Amino acid sequence: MDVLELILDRARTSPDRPAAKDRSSDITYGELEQAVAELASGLGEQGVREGDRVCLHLPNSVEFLVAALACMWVGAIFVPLATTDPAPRRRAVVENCEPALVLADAEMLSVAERDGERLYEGRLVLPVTAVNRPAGAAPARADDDDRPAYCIYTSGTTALPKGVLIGHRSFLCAVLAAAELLELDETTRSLCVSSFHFDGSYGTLFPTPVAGGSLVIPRREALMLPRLFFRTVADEQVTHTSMSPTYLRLLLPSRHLPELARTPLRTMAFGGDALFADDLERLWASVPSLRVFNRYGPTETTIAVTTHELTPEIVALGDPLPIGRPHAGVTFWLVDDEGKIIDRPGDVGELYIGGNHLMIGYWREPALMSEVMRTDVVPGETVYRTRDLVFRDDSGSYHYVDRSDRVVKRSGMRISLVEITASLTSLSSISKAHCVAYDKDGGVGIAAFVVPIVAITGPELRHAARDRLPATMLPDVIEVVADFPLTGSNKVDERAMLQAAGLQELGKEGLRSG
Amino acid sequence: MTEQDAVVDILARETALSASDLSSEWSLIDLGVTSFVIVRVLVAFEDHFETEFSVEQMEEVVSTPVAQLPEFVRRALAVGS
Repeated sequence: MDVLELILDRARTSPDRPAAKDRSSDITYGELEQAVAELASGLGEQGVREGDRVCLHLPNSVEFLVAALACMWVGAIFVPLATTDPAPRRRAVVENCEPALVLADAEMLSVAERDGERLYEGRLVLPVTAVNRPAGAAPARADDDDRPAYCIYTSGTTALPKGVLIGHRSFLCAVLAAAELLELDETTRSLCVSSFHFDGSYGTLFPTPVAGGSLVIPRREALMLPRLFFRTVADEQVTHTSMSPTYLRLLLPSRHLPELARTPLRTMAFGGDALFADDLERLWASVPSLRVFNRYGPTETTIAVTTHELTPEIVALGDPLPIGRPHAGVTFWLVDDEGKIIDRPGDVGELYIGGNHLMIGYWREPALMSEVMRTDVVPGETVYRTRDLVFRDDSGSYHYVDRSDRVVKRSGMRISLVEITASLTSLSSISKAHCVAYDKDGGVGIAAFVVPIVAITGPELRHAARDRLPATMLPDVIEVVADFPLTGSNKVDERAMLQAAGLQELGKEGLRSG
Repeated sequence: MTEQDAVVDILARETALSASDLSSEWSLIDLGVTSFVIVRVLVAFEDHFETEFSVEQMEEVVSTPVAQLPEFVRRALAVGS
């Protein structure tokens, strides 16, 4: 059994129920099955086979859902591309995963053609409509539960992102857990807010049709302004949505916020970065009946491994808010600095995750895999090292405290300072760079200190970096310095650099992500 | 405060870009301003000038050279009035 099979079951039992709509299509479950079968048929004709990668250069759309499900049908691994990322970064992903085919948005393709741009040199790039073939010719469905479902690229420790390979078994467990714990059903109408290249969005995109509900998928630009989000919730009669806490903070100051209380919106799920008590208190002051869920999980453990309903009583206890207990089939282990398992409530340790949500591995990165998938920590169990510091409270709920490495979270994305440093250092005008997170008005800012080879201005550096890094990863501040100050132990003195730049050090307690 | 001063003031406050960035010919997106910060800029423009941008105008704000944003806002307000 896999996610596709559960969605196709819905098509057979309720073919006329609405499944998904975007700005150009509004389809039922029956039409969804038809579209998936036509594309699966076309993928088969293009020679796409089980285990092949298919990159999806598609915006948030019904077409993306159809393409992902069609890949599952033929056993291909779908690889979502961040359409807003700089072209060199997207090309690096495509070169790394070597897809049999890139499915692209027809509009994007025609713009690229007009501008004489070749999206992915040497690769077969086609719009979905050019691949579709009659549904009757669709190949037999792949049914091995151990095969990979998707590969999603996240910030790594080199200048290149790394591909996280997720199997169908883990994917199904995560999707079923979301559907059950978020209480999604046939009356659910879910609004997709987060980008589909971010796996947090899969906590809505796939569980909703598995539960028989319907999806509302606006283009990301159509939700750009808070008032458009509120209008969409009201116009589309949305009952459920999920988003990053960062997006919530954009909505909270809006004068339209109280309008949510007059809509059918019942539940909101948050994930991707730390959620804060005072933000929820502001939300509930305007929409007191709204049920709120806090979700936690690294990409490597498939979408989310906790789903915890927060109530005003829990939130009144203050930050850090609980992320809850692990989903059924998932295990949590806390490990201290010496590598020993700790089990006392209140003790902070590094979280290791075991159980049925674990990734298959990193795409073509076996060394990295052995670094994080550990068999030497918990006897008889393979666990994933998260590098997240958490503690367990007296009630058994876990609380996220901080990262134990040089990774920060902004806009729901995990960002490696090492990767930013590597990208900046690869610029021909830079001899060395060092990135430090700082407190930016209560959020996480990134300051880059660079030693240039030639005279260069801030805007020139920022523009050059824009070609290598997505906007969420670009430093907020770029300081050109003659050299880095060192501490007594010859390490880069980050505190001194921040002070010299007039920036505030990042506190150890959970800070808002900006 | 003039229209131009208000635009520059909002950009400086919300993006933390330097004076040289704000007078550059690069757009907000070229300068690496995240979509979340761009939203804050747009909301601040709408609140300050008591107007509502269309989706097309929003997309244009993202790609307009920063130095030309005061003129862009002036034109948008003229169209809306």
